[in-house]
Parts: sequence; C-alpha cells; structure tokens
Amino acid sequence: MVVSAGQEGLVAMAAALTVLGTGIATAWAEKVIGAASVGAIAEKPELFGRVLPLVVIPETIVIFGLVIAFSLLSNL
Amino acid sequence: MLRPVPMTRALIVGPRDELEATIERLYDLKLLHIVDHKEGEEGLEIGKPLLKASEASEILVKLRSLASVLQLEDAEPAAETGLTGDLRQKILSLELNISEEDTSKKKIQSLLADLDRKIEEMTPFAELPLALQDYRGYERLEVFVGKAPRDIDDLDTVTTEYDAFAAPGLLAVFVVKAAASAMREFLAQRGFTNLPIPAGEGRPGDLLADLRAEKVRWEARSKEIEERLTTLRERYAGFLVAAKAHLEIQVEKAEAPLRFAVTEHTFLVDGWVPTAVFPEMKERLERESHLLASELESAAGHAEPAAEPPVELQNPRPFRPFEMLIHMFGTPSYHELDPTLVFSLAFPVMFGIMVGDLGYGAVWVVYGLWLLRRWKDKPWGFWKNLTVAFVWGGLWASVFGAFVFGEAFGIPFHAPDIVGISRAEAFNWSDDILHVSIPLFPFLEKLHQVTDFIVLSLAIAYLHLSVGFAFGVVNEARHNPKHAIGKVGWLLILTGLFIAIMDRAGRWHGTLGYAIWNGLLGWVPRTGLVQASFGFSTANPIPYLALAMLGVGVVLMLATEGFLHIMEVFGLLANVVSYARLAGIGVAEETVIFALNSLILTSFLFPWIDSGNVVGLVLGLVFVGLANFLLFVLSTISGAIQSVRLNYVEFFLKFYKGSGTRFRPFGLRTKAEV
Repeated sequence: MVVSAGQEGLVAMAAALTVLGTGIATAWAEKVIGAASVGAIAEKPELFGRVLPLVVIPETIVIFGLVIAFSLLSNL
Repeated sequence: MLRPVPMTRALIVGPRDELEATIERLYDLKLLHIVDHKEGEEGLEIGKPLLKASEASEILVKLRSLASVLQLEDAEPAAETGLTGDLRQKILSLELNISEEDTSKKKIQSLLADLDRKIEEMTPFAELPLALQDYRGYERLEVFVGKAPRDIDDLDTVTTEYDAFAAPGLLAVFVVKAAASAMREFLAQRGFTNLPIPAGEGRPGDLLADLRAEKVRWEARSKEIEERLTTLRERYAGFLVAAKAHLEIQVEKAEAPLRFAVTEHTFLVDGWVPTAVFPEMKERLERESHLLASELESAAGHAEPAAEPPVELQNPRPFRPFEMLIHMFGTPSYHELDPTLVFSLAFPVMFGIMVGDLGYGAVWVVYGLWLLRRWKDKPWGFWKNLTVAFVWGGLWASVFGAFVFGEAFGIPFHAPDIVGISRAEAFNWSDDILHVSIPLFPFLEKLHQVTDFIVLSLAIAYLHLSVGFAFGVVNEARHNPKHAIGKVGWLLILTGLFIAIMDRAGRWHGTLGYAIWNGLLGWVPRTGLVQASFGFSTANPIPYLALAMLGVGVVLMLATEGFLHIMEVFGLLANVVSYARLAGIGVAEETVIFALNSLILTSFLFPWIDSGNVVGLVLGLVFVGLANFLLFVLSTISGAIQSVRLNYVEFFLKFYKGSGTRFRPFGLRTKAEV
C-alpha cells in the first residue's frame, strides 16, 4: 500500500479506529463472560482455574486489532 | 518425565478375620489406590463397615458441630498426646458445656433482635406527646399515626372535626369516623405512611428507656457468654482439631470395607500400586500377614488395559510445582503425554518475554527465593507452587531484559539510536545513572521495533504449537492412527502458514523477519506464486513449498477429521496471531512505565540534576518507587494470566484431554479432604 503525501493522518486514524473497535468488542465480550464466571465461582470456588482462561479468551480480539494497527502504521 | 508413574493393578486376598489388620497395614503403607468394588459385581457383595465405624462417625458429627460453634477452621492441632484416654467421654462432656453456651447465645441473639425491632417501633412515638393508650379505644374516632415526608398543614380542607399532633417527620391525626376515608385519601396523596401502634400502655418515652436498658443488660450477658466461648476455644482448640483428624482417620479405616469385595470367609481388595513398589508391597503383605497379593495386570505392558489407572505425575523436582497448573486444567489420563515439562519451559519463557525487564525479573527471583525460604516448612500449596513458577518467570524475564531488550525498571541500558529525541527519552543507565557503559546492547527495542517484536512472538507461536501437534501425533498414534495422521496434517498446515507469514515479514532488510527468513528458513526454495495484492510481489512470492504443505495438510486433515473442520484452519491462523499478545503486552507495559518515568524525570529529577533541588530528588524517588511498583504488579498479573491462557487455550487444545484421575493411595491425607 502506498500512502500519498498528506494522507498519513488517515492511516493513523484507521489504526486508531481498529484499536478502538476491537477494544470495545473485547471489553463487551469479557463483561459477559466475567459476569457468568463470577456466578460460577460463587457456586464452586474450585472452578477458578478453569474460569480464568475463559475470561481472557476475548482478549485475542484486541490483539488482532493491535497487530492490524501496527501493520497499518508500519506503512507510514 | 513425559509419562506418569507406571502402575500395576493388584489384587489382595485374605481371610476375613485378617480384615482389620490388613486395613491398618494398607493404611500405613500408603501405596494402594483402591478401586471401589461395586455391589454385586462378579457376584461379590461389598463388605460391612467395622463395628467402631458408627460410634466414631457419631462422635465426629458432634465434633464437627463443636468446631463450627467455636470457629476452629484455622486452629493448629495439638500434639497427639492429648488423645489418650476415653475420647468419647471427653468430647461428650465438652459438647454438653459448649452446646449449652451456644443455645443461650442463640436465645439471647433472638431476644436482642426482638428488642431491636420493638425499639425501632417505639422510637417515633416517643416524639409525640401522647401515651400509648391514647391511640386506641375510640368508638367515634379513627386514628392515623405515621410518617409524613413534609409538613401537612391544610387538614382543615377535609374536615374541621379533627385533632392533630405533629413532630418533625411525624403526624398523628384523630378524626371522626364519618370523615375518615376522605382523610385517609388526603394523607396518602401527601406521601403519608402508616406506622403500627406498639402494644402496651404508658408514655412511649419511658417505655423506650426501659427497652434500651433491657437491651444493654442482654448485650452484657451475650458478651459474657462470648468470652466464655473464647476461653473454651483457646483451651480446647488444639485438642479438638487433633481429635477431629484422629477420628477422621478412624472413620476412613472403619469404612474401608465398603470399598472391598467379600465372600463368606474372604475379602478382596482391588487397586493400583506403582509398579516399582509392587514387589515390596507384595512381599511385606505376604510375610507379615497371611495374605495373597497378586498382579492382575500391568498397565505398562498393555496398550489398553481394561481399566484406566490413576495418574501420578513424575517430573524433575524444579518443575514439579508446575504440575499444579496442569491439574488445574485437568489431570492427564494415563495414556497421554504429560505436558508438564513443556509447560514449565513455555510458561516462564512467555512470562519473561512479556515482562522483559532485568529489574522486575530480578526482583521476582530475589523476592520469590526469600518467600520460599520463609515457607520452607509449609506444605506445597497453591501459593508456594505459584511462587516457584514466578521465580522461573523472573529468571527468564531477567534473561530477556538483559540480553534481548536491554533495560531495567523501564530505563534502557543505552540511549536509543534515534536523532532528535527528548532528554527523557534518551535517559539511560550507562550515561546518566551508572556512568559506566554496560556491555549489553538491545537486540530488540520494545518501543521502536514493534513489528520485530510481533515477528518474534509468531516464531514462538510456531515452536509452541508445533510441539503441541507433535504431542497430538504421539497421543493419537497409540489408539487411533487415523487421528494421528490428522494431527500430521495440522502440523503441515501450521508450517505452511508460518513459512508464508515469515516470507511476507522478511521483505525488508534489517528486520527480525528478514533474519529468520534468510537464516532459519533459508532452506525454503524461493520460487512461488506472486500475489501482489496480498503483499507477495515478484521479489517474495509465496513459496510453492508452503502452498504444497498447506494443500497436503488440508487434504489429510479433511480426510481424517471431516469436511467441517475446514473452518478450523482459520482458527489455527487466529491461534498463531493470538501469540502477538506477547508483543502487545510487552510493548504496552513498556509504554506505561516509559510515560511515567518521563513525567517523573522532567518534573522532579531533571530539576534536581540541573539545579540541585532536593525536594525534586525526594519526590522523584518516591514517585519512581510507586510507578515501578505499579508496573511490577501489573506486569506480573498480566504476564501470568496471559501465558497461562496461551498454554491452556492455544497449546492444550491441540492435543490435551486431561481426563485422568489422580493417584490417591489409601492412607494419604490431603488438606482438602479434611
């Protein structure tokens, strides 16, 4: 991708939007899982070990966002 | 290391009059994982519990209730010497004592609750100038007493035949019955809520004082009882805890026959013993008592024994604490590879990359070793195991911090080689703090080589996941060669993807991708398919080799696992990219500490350096300490959670089932059981 002069701002904006969107998506997904997990742990505290990785699963989304943002920025 | 301790299935047969002695002996040996016999299986009944079982469990129930009254969960057991004599008599007399106190305590508590309610009811009436009997017993009048959120003064608009008494927030209205319903409606519209009129006669103020005095009296009584219970607790806690443990053992032993098979004159115990100690156990049982111990089957010899043996993991001592994190996900079954070894390398390395700082790593090593020294005599619980994991992680963080990222406490060893950076950005250990040039130069600067950092993460992803698929091949090869071929297919897909990604990442000279593509992957033939729109130009086409691997892999996988699994290829790609979190978290933490450090440097420490402002020095050091503590905690938490997650989700799901049962020999007591 070739960025013409004066359009760098658009690329930076695109990178920002990517992180924003994926960040919100992750937060929303973790909110849902987190609430359910706390319920499960309240019932059975020994589930903690199993629940913890489940809660961080959606974090992958924001990682994707981060990678895309950096590959966008590296084109500047 | 990769396999659990080999197990042998043992059958112990003896005459019934030896039953009790055998239980004692097995309990002392602590070697046999008993397989419960099921009623009627092979025409054999289960045994009856020993006679002392019912008595022991009865006392145990009493003991448990005493323990809960005295709140004994965390008391230390006393020395066993207190357990001589008639345990039953001692406990029964104690119970009499304690339960009497407990009953009166509960009685007083309910009395106090009752008093509280009465006081609450009476309090508003004490504000009004009337005695309680004045509120009732009228033929022609209706009485409204209640809370009024604001002053209600236009009662005249309803009727003139009324009398009213008011106090702040309260109102009592006496009205003729004829106008009662109109008055009720009028009051309700103004937010008036009725209060119940307390029973009794006399002035509410006096009654209230009486109630309060009574409450004080009972509270004193309750305190007295509480004190007596505390004395009892202090005196008997050790004895009770020790007695509880003792009785629990008695009950477990006495109820053991329920797990055995019996005939009229003999009993049979079926269970698993580590193969290495079986001959010793057999010899001892047969010599010391007239028993027959024989080997039913050896799980090591057969590919698929009839029953699933319990699993006792065996790993080198330094890695054993990681077994806890494996059991947390699921105990491996007897027939799959034990992933502890890979886990105990992968977890600390990933933790180390994410923390990636000589300072924080060294703090963990020192602090962790100090904690372990302090906990030398403590049993291996969750926190102790976790601390070992963090010491390993800290070690790797120091290694990565020193040799790869070249920084400590967020400050680089050398100023980054970039023109026109600010003074805070250029602040470094060699020139500004130590005034000695540290002979370690960063291989990768977190803040300035993010793409390289991501490439490094992807390379680790490939290593980690390919080990996972290799484990999968071995696990499946034993009982389903078809699935093993499927795993080979996945390994090919992964390699094909990795080659293509590295090809793309290695386009520019001087990057880490370039180094990997022309170094480690230099053997890959360069001819291939040009896909300019995806960034694969004539200079770096997608190698045919990668495409062939992808193609063959997909065909193998689809043929063995089914057509729908085509979607999983994208899942695998997502798994690979997911490792970019190593870079993501590393960079994020570095950014935060860099920002905090720059702020503190420019506002406090540079003024001190330039003009000797001592206030700046003191405040600066305080804030530097706080900022680094924050980052230390943050990086530990996110580093640990994220690397556990990469192992549990990305790695384990490639091969690991974790459906085994743990080896729990008869006689071995764990804390959780108590």
